[in-house]
Amino acid sequence: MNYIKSLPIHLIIGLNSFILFFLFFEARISAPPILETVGRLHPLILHFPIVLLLLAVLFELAREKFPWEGAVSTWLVRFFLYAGAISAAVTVIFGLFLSKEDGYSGELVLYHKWLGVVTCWLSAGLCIGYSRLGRTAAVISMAVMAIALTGAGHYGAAITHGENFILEPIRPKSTGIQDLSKALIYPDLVAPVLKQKCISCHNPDKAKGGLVLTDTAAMVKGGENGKLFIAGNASGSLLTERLLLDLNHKHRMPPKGKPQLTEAEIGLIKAWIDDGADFRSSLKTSSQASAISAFAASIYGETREPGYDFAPADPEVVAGLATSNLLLAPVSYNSPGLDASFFGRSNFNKKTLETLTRVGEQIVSINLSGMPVGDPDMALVTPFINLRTLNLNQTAITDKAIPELQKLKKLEVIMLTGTNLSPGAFEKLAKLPNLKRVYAWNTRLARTEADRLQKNGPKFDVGPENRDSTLLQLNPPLFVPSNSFFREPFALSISHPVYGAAIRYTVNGADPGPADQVVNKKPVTITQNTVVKAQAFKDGWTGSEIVEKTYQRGAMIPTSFSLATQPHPLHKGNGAASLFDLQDGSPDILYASDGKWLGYQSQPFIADLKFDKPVGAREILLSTLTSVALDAFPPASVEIRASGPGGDTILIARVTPNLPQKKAPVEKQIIRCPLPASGTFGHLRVIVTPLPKMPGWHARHGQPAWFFIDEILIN
Amino acid sequence: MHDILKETSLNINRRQFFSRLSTGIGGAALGSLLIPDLFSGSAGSGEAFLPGKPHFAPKAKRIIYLFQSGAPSQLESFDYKPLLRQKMGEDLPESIRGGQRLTGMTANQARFPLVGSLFEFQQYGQARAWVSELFPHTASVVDDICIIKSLFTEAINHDPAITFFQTGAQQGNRPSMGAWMSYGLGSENQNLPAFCVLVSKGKGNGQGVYAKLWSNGFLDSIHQGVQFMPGADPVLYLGNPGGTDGTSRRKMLDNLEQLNQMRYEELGDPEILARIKQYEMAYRMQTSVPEVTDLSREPDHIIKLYGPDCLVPGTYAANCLLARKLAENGVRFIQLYHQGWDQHGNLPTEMTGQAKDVDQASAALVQDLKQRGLLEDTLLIWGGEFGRTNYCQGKLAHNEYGRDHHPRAFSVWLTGGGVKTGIVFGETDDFGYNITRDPVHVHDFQATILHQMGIDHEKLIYKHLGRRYRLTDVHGKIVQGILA
Repeated sequence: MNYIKSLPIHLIIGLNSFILFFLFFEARISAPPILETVGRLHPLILHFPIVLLLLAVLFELAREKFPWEGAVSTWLVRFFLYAGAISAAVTVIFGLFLSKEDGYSGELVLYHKWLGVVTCWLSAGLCIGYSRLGRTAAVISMAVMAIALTGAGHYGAAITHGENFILEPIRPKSTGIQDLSKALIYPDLVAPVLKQKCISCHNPDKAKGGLVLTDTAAMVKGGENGKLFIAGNASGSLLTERLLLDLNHKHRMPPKGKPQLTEAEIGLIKAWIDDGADFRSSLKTSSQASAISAFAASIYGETREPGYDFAPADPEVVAGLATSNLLLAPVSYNSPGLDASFFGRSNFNKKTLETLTRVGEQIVSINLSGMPVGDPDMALVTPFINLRTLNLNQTAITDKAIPELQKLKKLEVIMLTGTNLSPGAFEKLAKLPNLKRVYAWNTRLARTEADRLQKNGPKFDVGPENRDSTLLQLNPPLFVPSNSFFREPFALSISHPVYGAAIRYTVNGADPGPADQVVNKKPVTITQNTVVKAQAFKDGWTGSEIVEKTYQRGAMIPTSFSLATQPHPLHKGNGAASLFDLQDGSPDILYASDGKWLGYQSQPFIADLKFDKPVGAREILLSTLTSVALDAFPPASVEIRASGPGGDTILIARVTPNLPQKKAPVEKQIIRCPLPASGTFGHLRVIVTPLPKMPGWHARHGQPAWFFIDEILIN
Repeated sequence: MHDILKETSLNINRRQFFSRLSTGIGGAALGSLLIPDLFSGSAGSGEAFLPGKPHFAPKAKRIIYLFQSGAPSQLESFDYKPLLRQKMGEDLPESIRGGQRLTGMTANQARFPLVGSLFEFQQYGQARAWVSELFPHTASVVDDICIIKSLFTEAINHDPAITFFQTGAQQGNRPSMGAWMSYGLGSENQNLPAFCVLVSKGKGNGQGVYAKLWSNGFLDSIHQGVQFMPGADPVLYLGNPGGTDGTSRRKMLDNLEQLNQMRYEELGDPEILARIKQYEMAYRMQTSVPEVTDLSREPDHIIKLYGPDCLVPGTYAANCLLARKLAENGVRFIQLYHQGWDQHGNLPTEMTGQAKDVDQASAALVQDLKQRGLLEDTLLIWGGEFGRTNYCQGKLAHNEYGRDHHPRAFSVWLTGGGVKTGIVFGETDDFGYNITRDPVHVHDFQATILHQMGIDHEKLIYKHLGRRYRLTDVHGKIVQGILA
């Protein structure tokens, strides 16, 4: 029994002897890997002594208040003291093992170690001497132990979390970089990144890999793996390599599980190394200035926003002011600045602009482009004292508005394109202290004048010179309807989209000239096959190309018609219906059929046209396509047969079209088949034989040609 | 049935609870996650149309994206490679190709003969940027733009590549960039959609574009792109039906709102409130859309700037002018597409036509935005979904060749919204095949765009099917080098 009772004491003495031994021979001890693992349990078990020992102190202090008898409370205090002392000793041993790992050196570790050891010994001493000490001595010893314990805990936390961990959230934050152009690259841009993501493991107290990033001399020296960087050569530098290694690689920095650097942060560090890794150079003089400022802007983005020094508006007020024609929204999520844009000229209401004064302080940008506002309304804009951007494009303001606009001292950008301001007005505006840019296209401000003004003032955008004097060709007139085929006489309207363009036209095939008729509102009536030519003119433009359009009449339509041979599956159009739908096929059928062409290759095209009452047709026209490149050739022959009296068919017409030349243009071609001058027909059969072999000059000579047809016209 | 109703109303209470709780705790703790409808449940509730707040001060408030669908050749536009002319007809060295996969269109080709640009290049501006003779107007504004020659992507065919560019994934079903902006930043002008789409088509070869590209994906449907059509009725189904005048329309909407309100009080489904809001916005759009799409007030010098085609509805030039008007009216994301850039063959002719379609109007947009001061806060982007090969597809003649798809390097340009102008960023090798300096992945490009809009691309998140989605997926580095 005694043995069991004295076991804790022996354990405490044993563990503390080990600690003593370890501390004496610390320099000669090297921990095997298994003990490193044990050491890493230190942060886990350290919570036991803290809680147990503090409970012991608590119970000691509150002993007299307990309802229990003295023995019970003494026993409680002793229990916590013993348990606390044992766990403290174990914690110290584990901590000593951990300190044998790389990177634990420096003041913080030293304080932490010795305060921990003191706590451990004091608790051990109290275990042994508690019953022999008077109450005052016990309380004093315990208080000393508690102080040592707190100190050890504090320094330990500082090692893992960084020194200012606790107070950081309530300390005033650094205001960031107010002006990038004055920033120093290393202290202002690079160092904050290292401080945030690297130095918790690379400081004089915990120099993992022997690397210290808190002072520049140590950085240049590098760590145990060599120099950290080669100035001017980021891609050859160890630092870059470590930052870019795979996340699972054991040398990746920061290691997996720790906060990682962002793309921009890595980019910034690389750019800084490429720039020469100087610790004092400024962004202004840097060769990498644009890259560095881009990265910095991305990292410290918020600081580049204009520093608005006013409070945000009440979101409910903002929501209440917005209408369906007014966008009122914060510039961005964190910004107190508001953006106001008006849309919809016909619904514009000046009252809305007036009500905006309720958030007058917060509005930093107003867009009134194209709104019906004029000089008197500019007085409504002046209450917006923080206005940075004002868009007055295409508004009716004149020079009288200038005195009001001059009150906007914080204005940086103003858009005045398409207004009637005089050069004098711009001269006055140029004196606004913060104005950086003026858009003044299509105003009375000449380029030379603008150049003079922007020498000492804001940048003036007036656009390229002499734009109005350039002569452009008008586009061709438009024909409605655009189909080439018609059955009944119709009204053709020729129009032009450009206002005030005049159109001259002819219907006799001649090119339109100054003497020809001008299209007025009345359409042209087309009753027979006609070639219409038209050309558009307007002052300040050169005349359009002459458009030529052929209108072909197909007066008759068979009562029924069908195809005896089916078209190629790639070009089956709309079947037989395509032949009499008056729809033009486009000459452009390179890959996909446009649904209007019927295509035949190798087999003949045979169509049967039937009339209820025999008709006196005099000609049949086939609308076909010729495109040498696409193997579309006129057919070898066209035969028209009519049913004879005995049910047999008689050949009544045969046409063999000419073959195209090698350079023949892609065009639609009408094949005309005259029918016998007398005779009526109840059933006509059209047989077209595609060209079986393409001519010798063709790339695919000897192979069968295509035959394309989009319409049959009968007259 | 009754249980379901109960459950619904409980759900709302839970949402309201968290919503109130979040305001109570205060923005500070949740600031990093601040997204307009984060706490409003899955459906767009009443707050969805209010503009959100960017994460940090934005350099750009809106984007005009001139998407050149079909992939314009970088070798005939901005990436000048004289070596390709010297080595005309020689095979692409395997060491340069480095195992790059091929499309089905050239995989069977026996040789890969290099082909140089038929078009001459000259240097322009302070950056001495090379621009081809096909883009004279763009060349004249080269000091006002930033050319990136080192973009690369993962996809090799049109649909996956465009989808990747616009949604951050090749497969589709994700929200388009414009929908993300609408979700993250809301609309500036409550009378217009936050995300507008304008489509035009050149004469060159190419595949179509389709509504999937401006989809809201898993976001609320209010974030979907609204297509503006050429012609009298720019937004479909917006006008009053025949026989209805403004007054009766208003009356109808008021009564409908009352009915909807009653239904909402009964069921508590926030989607009903969203519907009421959308009816109201459509009503306001009846006046705002005609005002915006009316180009008749544009003066002659503006028409000359964009070229006379800008008054022909449906052309690229008209869409550029309209894009400027939409930007002026606070539309958050204006997405243009110009189709027809897929020059597998007949490149010299087709590309001349395509360049003629877009060159003047694109440059005009730069100038027009600049003169209004809109470049201060509008990001303008011009580019396709990938580049084109340095070798010829199909028959090679000195004035007749084609180029296949090339994902490894291509050029785009951008300006405004805090982008550094007058610079050329990135470089490719002498063959124009591989990037040698400053590669920019599509996700990097997207991250940079979001960054300029004041959004941290890692924080613009939507949780869907148990996963947190981002436009940049798990990638994306901000391209610092192009930021002013």
